[in-house]
Amino acid sequence: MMKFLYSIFLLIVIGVAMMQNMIFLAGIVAVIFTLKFSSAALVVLAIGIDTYFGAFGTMPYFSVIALCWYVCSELIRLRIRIMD
Amino acid sequence: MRGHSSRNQRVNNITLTTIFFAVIIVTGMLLPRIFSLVGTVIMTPVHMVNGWYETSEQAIPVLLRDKSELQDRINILENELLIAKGEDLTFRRLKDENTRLRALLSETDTQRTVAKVIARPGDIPYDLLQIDQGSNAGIKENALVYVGQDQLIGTVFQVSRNYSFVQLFTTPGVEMTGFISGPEVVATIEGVGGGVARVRVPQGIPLTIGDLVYVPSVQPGLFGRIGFVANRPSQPEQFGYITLETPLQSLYEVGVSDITVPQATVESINFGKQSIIAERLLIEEAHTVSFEELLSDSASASTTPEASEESI
Repeated sequence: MMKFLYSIFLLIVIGVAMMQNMIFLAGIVAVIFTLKFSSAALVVLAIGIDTYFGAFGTMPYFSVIALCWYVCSELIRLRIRIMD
Repeated sequence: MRGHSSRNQRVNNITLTTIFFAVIIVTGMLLPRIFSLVGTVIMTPVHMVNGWYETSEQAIPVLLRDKSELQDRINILENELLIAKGEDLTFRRLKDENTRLRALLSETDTQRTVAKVIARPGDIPYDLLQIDQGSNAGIKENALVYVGQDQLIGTVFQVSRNYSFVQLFTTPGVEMTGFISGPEVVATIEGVGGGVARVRVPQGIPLTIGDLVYVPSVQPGLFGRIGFVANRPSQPEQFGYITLETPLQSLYEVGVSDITVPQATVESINFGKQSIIAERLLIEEAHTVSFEELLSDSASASTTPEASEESI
């Protein structure tokens, strides 16, 4: 339960940081989130932020970046586990 | 073998998840309106937290906002400081260049006498200063009085042996020609009294606070900065009010130049102009008469061919 609340808290921090244009803070928290949990939730959040800002009318950069981030992080995680 | 299948399963999961999200993103790009509606609902908690952060008067958001604003302010001030440093360098370069050019023109610096202010408005009438140097120290009537190196504040109008009185340019009735550096216009500086002078310029001239006002007839002749602009669009003129950079009560020492500026009233200047015009007109009239006489002489002489040849 605590882990779930912690993940929700981190996601809200990332969302607010993005809305306040504090990209650096959002990036750091996103890295922490990726280390602790699966980054699939970040893609959902990025889609939500892009939707909120109406970016789907043009190009949803956050969603695309988050998807790339998800693929990279999961592949790296997979490699680390194999080496373990 | 088991490890291999587990790895393949994870890769498959990642691939499927990626495809799933990619499909969602593409669908969102194809149906942006529906997505916007759904996204607004999903983002409600984040939006509420964001609103709390932006508008709440509670301690934590106020602290965070203040910190953020202060950080922005620090950044702005640091930028201004950098710009000011650059301007200071430019100022010093221009000053050196000015000194060098003045030296090339053989213009030497004038002598100044330092005098302490011994009475200010309050003890004596407003817009007057009493200084502790007089004719014994070489102070002359109508000598220019400076604060610091550049700022002109008035002239000596009465000299005794050991003290003098300085009349400030802000005295009511004092008028002089000034040059406003921002909009680059010449205007009349009028003393208003109480340590305040003003310039009047027509509407449409971009008069702004901080514009420097010079007295072009004397060097160096910085008079002050415009501290307030009174501009009513219904009026044909606007006024820029100038106060002394240093308050009168803070004046401790002034510099009295050996350059004197003759004081003149408007009437005396007009009288002088009229007398000059009258004198010139008389001379021109005299010249005209003599020229006509010369013409008549030459006409009478040109009745005979010999005479005309001689005149030619």
